[in-house]
Amino acid sequence: MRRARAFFLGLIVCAAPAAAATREAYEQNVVALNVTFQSWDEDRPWSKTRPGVRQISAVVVEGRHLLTAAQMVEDATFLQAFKFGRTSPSRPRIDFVDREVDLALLTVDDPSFFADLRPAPLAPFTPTEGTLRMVRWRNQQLESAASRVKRIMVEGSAYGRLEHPFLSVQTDLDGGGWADPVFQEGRLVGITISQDEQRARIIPVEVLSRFLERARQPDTYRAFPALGVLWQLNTDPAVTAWLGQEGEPRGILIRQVPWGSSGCGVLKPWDILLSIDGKAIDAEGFFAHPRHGQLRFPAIYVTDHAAGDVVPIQVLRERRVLDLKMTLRGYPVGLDLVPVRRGPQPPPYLIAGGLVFRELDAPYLRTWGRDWLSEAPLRLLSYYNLDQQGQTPERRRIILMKSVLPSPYTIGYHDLEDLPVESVNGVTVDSLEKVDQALQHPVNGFHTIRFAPNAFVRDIVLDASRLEEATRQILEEYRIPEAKRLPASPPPDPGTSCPGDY
Amino acid sequence: MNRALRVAALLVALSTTTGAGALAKSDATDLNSMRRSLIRLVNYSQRGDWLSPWEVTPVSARSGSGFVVEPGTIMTNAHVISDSRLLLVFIDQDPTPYPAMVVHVAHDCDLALVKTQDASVLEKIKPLPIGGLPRLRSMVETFGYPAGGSQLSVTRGVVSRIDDQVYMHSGVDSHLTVQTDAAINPGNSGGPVVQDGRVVGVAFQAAEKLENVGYMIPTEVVQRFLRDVSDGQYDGYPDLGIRASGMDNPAARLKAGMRTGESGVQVDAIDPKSSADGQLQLGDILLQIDGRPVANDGTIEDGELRIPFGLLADRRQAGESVTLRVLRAQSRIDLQVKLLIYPAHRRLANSYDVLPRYYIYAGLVFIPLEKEVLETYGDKWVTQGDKLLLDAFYQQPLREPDVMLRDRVVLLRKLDHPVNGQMAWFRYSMVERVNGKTINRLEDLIDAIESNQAEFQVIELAHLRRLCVLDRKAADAANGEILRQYGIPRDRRL
Repeated sequence: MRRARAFFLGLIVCAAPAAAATREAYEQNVVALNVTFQSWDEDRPWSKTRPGVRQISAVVVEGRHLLTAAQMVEDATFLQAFKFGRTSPSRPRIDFVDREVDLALLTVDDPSFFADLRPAPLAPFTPTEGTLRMVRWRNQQLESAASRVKRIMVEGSAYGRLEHPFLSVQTDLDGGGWADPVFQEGRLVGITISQDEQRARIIPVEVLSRFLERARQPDTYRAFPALGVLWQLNTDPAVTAWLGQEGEPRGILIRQVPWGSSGCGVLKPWDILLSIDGKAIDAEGFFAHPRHGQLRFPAIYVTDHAAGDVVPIQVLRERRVLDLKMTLRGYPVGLDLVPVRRGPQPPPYLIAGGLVFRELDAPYLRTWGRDWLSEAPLRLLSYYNLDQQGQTPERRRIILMKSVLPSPYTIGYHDLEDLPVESVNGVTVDSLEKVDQALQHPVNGFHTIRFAPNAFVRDIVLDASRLEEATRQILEEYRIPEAKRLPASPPPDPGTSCPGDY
Repeated sequence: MNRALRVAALLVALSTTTGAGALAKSDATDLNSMRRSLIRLVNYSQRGDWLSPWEVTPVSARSGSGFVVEPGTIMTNAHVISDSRLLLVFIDQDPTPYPAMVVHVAHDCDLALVKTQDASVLEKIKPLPIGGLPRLRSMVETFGYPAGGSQLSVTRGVVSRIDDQVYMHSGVDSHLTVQTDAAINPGNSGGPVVQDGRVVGVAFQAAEKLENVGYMIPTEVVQRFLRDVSDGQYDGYPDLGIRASGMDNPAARLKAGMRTGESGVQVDAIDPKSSADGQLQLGDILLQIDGRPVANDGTIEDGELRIPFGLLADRRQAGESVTLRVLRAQSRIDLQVKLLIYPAHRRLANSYDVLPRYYIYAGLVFIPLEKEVLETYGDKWVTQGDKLLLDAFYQQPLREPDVMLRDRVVLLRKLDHPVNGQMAWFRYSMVERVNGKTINRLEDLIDAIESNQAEFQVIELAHLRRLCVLDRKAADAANGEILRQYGIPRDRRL
């Protein structure tokens, strides 16, 4: 039976690869993944939360790979792949991940796994209209639902901060959005990344194909580029007249150029960025895309270029039009003052005498719940909201004293929590390593932790001679396996040639 | 009339059952002797509108309670009489409304003194005598006019706690407060709480999320207010102007050089131009105030109570001094600190009896940053309000204490017009510079705009280098038209 079906499919694929696809073709293109995952407990960073299971889709691509969404296999402890009609799963492993575009490439070591699967042919480009098929396995049934193209627009990635085009569709599939592939006439046009009621958001094929091309050479993988600057609309003729632009307002107004961004060292605040790679940008940041009409400017370079490419740009600066070259870089997520995500790294922490230190990052802020951008303490949110310009060479991360594990050693400090730390024993700290090092050097027999001015306490003092013993007792008392987990690697170093222009 | 009466004040409704069996009959107060001194107040009030600062809110009526505290003078809560347009008082069992006026108001301790316009009305009424601090578990009676009713309500409760609390009327001031186990309801705020025929407190607020918890202002706060106004004006509370933290940890005490048995608190922050500025230093350990030891948790022994050390300054008048003993660099030194009122503190408080200052240019509405500006976001302003503005109000003063000494001007909103129609618009934004000039007062902004003869008005906003530019001549020309179009009588209130 199985052989007969494979034969039949083979005929169709050979005879008319782009013709209307059948369910059988989709059965060979799509697999279901069961992801057992367990994330770290951001409040108690030495332990993990309760494991959970999610069922997602993956699509078979060239090179015996499965393509799915990065965020959906993050924190995976156990992966199982199910294909049509099989109840015995295979064990895929993650081969390559790009969190900025939220894509992951998986493989299965057992070569027989792919024997009756076929790589999904990629569509040449994202369709501008028409009906698509959104496909997934559910209870051994292949579900294929009609989905209508709504629009394509450039938005920020849900998982990273990269901006690239997303396809928006109205789908008949219920409860989708779990990396379910979307086809048009048998060709893959994207995978879903989220779904709100019947409205699904899809990473389009242009992004998928660039990712697949580059991920096949992981050692030389080049990131998707981002401009990485803060800008505002340039629609106001008064602003443009003040800046010396004649005629209709055009181009975008640059406000801040962060350290490590593509614009760093090239763009300056209050430049008007007129064009990138020869494509003119209008006053709201759109350019004329040959197929999709007006799209925001990141679509100029995000899929047609990679990090490292040099593109020509034109700016209006001090009333003169300048032609400049800009080397594209990926989004410097490691350079965010409050990183939006940490990737696969467990939360770094340090416990000293019951004081729990950690770095401030968005995964921690998210412990305040779904409305964390409203509900988290203002003094922490301010770092996230005010300091979007990112790190500076002098300030890489915000260190928090997250909490104090109660013991006689820390009496008087038990109510203190979530306080930004300025220095330890007189040494300014912007990393857990620096906290760790500073604690090796007590001053006159004491450790002094000084907080930033926006904490309501100035400093706290510990008896240095008892620190080690107190830490040991606290670890034992509170069943904590290790006193510290320092970051696996320091934040990236973009050098000092361009410290950012804020 | 009653339907229109919006009851906004708070009252204490004492449980008639709690502990009733244990009450001594002698606690009961002679009602008839008190009744003529009890007052119901009806305040027709109107506030400014901080979102459309040229407007005022509709008139609202609210009722509260009060009592004759001195011959011809009624005491009530500040929140009963604030923002008054017309104030009427009713003497108990006399249905005649008597027009009245506020003679002194203390928004920082929620007390006010009121007189009738016809002084003879109160002439023959005996003031209620003022007593002391009631003891824990003792019985008190509350008199007032809850829920808009015109008939007297008398209830009983037990004194359940005495400590300091934030006075919600101002939102920023804490004073000694007496808690009773009686529920407090809107309407008899300002009414006397009586024990043995003497007033031992003024009912004023309730705990929303707790049952049977009502608060009264104790007589030490009442007496302080009366002393303050005895020179004809209310000055307010002086303040040390420091923030301090406890010294419960032995290592902290050892490092500071404190001796065995010595206790105190560490000075963590000093408000600029406050009483402590130039006298205390960061890191000083405050050991004693007026010879009374400060405990490691910041409290001071006070009769049967332990009170926060700051309450000692509360009991003084502005201009009086306190002696502070501090430990600084291993030395114990005594400092005479003259207590000053720290006006910058009021910048964080709720505003009453004032209309918002503002300036409108080319449809851009500028307003000094006040709590009421944040509240224009609605009931959930604490979480839903603009985060940069909330940061400017609550966090920036911690990072840069000097900002409390000046106005910070907000570009609040835009009244749409072709002259500003294309502006990449940033509502609720802090203004940093206008035409290159740093803005420290609303007047600076007006001057920077109106003295500018250049082609453009350039407004730089405080965060993330946001920018607004206006064509000056076009903006000047549009001003009058915008004001007319939006029905705005004046472009400014300073």
